[in-house]
Amino acid sequence: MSLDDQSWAEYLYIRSNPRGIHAERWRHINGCARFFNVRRNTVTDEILTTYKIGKSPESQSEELDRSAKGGAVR
Amino acid sequence: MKCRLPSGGRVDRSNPLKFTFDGKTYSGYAGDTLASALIANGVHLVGRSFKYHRPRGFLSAGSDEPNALVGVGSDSARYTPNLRATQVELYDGLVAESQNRWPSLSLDFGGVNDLFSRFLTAGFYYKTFMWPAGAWKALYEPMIRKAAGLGKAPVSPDPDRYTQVYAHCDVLIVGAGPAGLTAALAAGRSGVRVILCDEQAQLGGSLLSERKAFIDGEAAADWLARAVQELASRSNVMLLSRTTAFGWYPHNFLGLCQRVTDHLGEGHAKAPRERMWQIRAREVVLAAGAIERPLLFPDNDRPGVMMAEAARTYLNRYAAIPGSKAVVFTACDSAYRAALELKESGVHIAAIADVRSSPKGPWIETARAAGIDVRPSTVVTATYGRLHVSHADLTDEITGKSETLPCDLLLMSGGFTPSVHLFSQSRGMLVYDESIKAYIPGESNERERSVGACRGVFDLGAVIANGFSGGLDAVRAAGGKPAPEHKFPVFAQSLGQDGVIGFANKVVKRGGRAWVDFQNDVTVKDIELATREGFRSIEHVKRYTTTGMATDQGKTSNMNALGIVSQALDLPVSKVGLTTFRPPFTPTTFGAFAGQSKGELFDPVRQTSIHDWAAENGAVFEDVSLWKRAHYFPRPGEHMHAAVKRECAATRQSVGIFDATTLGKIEVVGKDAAEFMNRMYTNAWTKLEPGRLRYGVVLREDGFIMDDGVVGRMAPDRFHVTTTTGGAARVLALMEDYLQTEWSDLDVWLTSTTEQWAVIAVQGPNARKVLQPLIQDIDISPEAMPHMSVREGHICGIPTRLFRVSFTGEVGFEVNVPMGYGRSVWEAIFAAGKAYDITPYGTETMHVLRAEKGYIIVGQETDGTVTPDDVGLSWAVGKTKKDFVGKRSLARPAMTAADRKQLVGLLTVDPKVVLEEGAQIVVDPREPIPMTMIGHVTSSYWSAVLDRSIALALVRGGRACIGTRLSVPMPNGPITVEVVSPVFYDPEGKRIDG
Repeated sequence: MSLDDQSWAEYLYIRSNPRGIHAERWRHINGCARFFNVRRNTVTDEILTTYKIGKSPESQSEELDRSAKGGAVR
Repeated sequence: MKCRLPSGGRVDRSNPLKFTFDGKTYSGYAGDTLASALIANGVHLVGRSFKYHRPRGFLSAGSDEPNALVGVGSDSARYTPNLRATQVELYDGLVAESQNRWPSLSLDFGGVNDLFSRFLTAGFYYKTFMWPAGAWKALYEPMIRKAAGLGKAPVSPDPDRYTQVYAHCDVLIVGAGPAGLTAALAAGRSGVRVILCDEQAQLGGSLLSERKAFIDGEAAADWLARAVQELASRSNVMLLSRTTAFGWYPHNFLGLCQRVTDHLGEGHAKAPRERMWQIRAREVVLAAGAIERPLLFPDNDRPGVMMAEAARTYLNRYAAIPGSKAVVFTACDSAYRAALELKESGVHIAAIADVRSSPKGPWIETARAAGIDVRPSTVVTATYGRLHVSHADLTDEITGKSETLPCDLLLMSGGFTPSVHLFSQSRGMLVYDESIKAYIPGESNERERSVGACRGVFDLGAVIANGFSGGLDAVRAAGGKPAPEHKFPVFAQSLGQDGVIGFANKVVKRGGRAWVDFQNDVTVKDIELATREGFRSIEHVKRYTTTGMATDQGKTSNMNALGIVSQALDLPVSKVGLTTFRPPFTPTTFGAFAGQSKGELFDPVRQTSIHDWAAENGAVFEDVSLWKRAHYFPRPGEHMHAAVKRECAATRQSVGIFDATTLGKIEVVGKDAAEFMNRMYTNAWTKLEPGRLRYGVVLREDGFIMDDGVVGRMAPDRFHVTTTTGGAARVLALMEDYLQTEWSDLDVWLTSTTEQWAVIAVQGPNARKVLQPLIQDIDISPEAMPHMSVREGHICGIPTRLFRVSFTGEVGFEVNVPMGYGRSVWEAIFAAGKAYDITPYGTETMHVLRAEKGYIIVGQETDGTVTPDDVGLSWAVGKTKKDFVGKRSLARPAMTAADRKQLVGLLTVDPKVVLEEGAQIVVDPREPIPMTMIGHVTSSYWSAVLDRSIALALVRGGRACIGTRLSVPMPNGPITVEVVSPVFYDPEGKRIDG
């Protein structure tokens, strides 16, 4: 138990509501049911990037560059 | 039709139609709107205003119309209220009526409101109806309900069909006026996928009333026809007329509503009435045009006071003359064009009152040359005529002299407001342009561009060039190859871009009421009052006065309201700001949004493979999430209480059979299956041997019970997990969440098997005897198959996972067979059970029997705020487990407080009284209100076996209350209860082994 009760309560119940670029988790409920990560601008709803669980956006795009043979995803 | 020109217009004179309005029959032509046909018949009075019931006529000719709201439909099922007569396409036999008047349009008792207008100003309801408080229920509310509202709602179900379609395209163009058409030509010629939509029946927008201009070498009408023909011939272009783009949703997702059959009359079974298009467009071109702005002057709302451009539309497009002698009041040149064209068709123009002090240019010269009395620096200061305008006072602002002119038509034009509704919905930034006194699109938030009048470009030549280049720009942005540039030479006299917002009178003293928002009956005085009362933000002014809040969303009023606030507060318009536009652009039917999701198709219905047997045997069903479950099986003459009593008794005395198929099932498989189960559930699983069952509890991260269910270990690496019926998807989602995002190192995978297994519960002292002869290869003797064990084998030759488990406290089994065999195995068990009087029971009996044994039901005894210890399930929490979901939260001080609500049983002192579920519990029934509530009744039933009532409850410090008495206050008096252990029947559990 590395968090005290106050910190644990904050983890459970207190959310920040950032204005701007936000990393969040999505799930493709009506499709493959997989979770994935999204970087979204909370003001404009622009989706900046999607990347796999456990990866960072930078490492993900490197992998894509290496394996991609054209037909870039917008 | 006394006001129809003998020739001209775009109506089809070979197709005459009959229609009725307020019970009177009139004639019109195909191509008319209800408005144009009424005008052609000399009808000017068409409605009564919302608040003051003032007589109203047609203000405009399009979707911006605020006054002419009618109800259309010949029967109560197809009646649609609040339609704009200017948008209703005429068909033979159309039946329409005016609204908001009684007993009739010309004699409306509601008109008395106008006499009390002093007391009905903006926000009057915040200052009235306060006293006495008692008068609300009997007097104020019924009175207000009767007076409020607009139009009558239909009272029969909508018999029409509505469908929903999805489409993708490269370029979506909204609006098929000159800008939209050329944008479509550009995009169409570029070969990309194009969708062009327009709210009107015909494409062309302002070109439909254009008589003089020349485009690309031909008359505007001819050019229009050729452009439409070219677009229609291109296979990459889809044309959607009668289609309103009503809403913009994130990422270029637009909602369009297409009116498919309304113009054909009622009841077209072959086609849907409306089609909801949901379009994802790579790029959007907005060509929504501009809306003419009224001028503010006293009594500017009489029937016969109309927008100048609307009169021109009625004349040129419908050959309908809205009056015979007109006064024109304008702040810009475009009204001169309307005046000249009307004069050419025989309308006498009494005078043009121009707000501007020295209007110059070709239009003014042509008007004077035609003999029209042009009066600069002149404003209208009054109008007369109760049901139809009859006179207007024109006042010279310089000399102060007034003259009263007779007229039956008063045209006004305050300039044009670019339609930025969709742009605003797309969250683009609007920018105020002082030179045209309008907000125009600034920075976009989505992939779009605005062209033509909707971005403040008004001259036809510039509009057409702007449209074409906008189309090419969209093609480029979409990644397509743009067609070659095309220059369209255009000959059209410029109309300038003058206009005013707010009150135009500079000098003349104001008297009387000037209308700003016609539909919500908001006047200049109302808005000025709001600013005097301290409302300075335009958002507050809007809501306090309700300006801009009617069904027209302020199309003809927002900018004027803004102008008044700016004048009243002496703030520049850009500092006052504009309120947000919201979808839908114009009212859209519920049917279009519902689509096919109604009646039987509203929600999917889930049924087990045993459902039909239950239905055939008289079951009454209940809904448990999307499932149909047999609630009880009444015999002829039995009501629910008697049936449940019989089912309970039969099960405890002999044997009952129950369909438990709807419970959730998840197959957890893999090398790390046990480790996964240890982390997800409170229980310890490592030592559970294959062939054993355990009752599992799963918590949320915050430590509260989320679900429960019996889990079978089929093999070292395989668990058959069950959940509650309603919780199945939630539990699987929680499991996948942890597995995919936190524990990807675990070698385990999850499969939903809820629909793969039918589950037949056989419960009662004779359960084993019933099943024995049907099972070939499993020893189900008590020694070989103790309580809470599972075996695989066959029943009637069908593979089965046989659970020895009981939710009733009697000897019990749950027979799992592949779903398709559910009914046949049920029937075999039922036949084998005949000798023991086997009784089918439903969910109500299931609830009673488990309550008698003190077993909780998640969602009944728990509500998301209940811990395992609260309901006596501490035994299910593995004490030596390192970690599991919720463990950390259970250690929080609030989770172990002594006064937490705990599960107890309640026995009413009068055994015949059955408590109400949800009833509150108090210590002392004599405590004055507000009483201290210490808990509530979670489950309550009549117990057949105990021949008395029982109840389960959550009570503060409940376990310490056992043996004491508490009280349940009810409307008829308090009920005294004895607090007891929640296990009412067979507390030692002797019956489980028969």
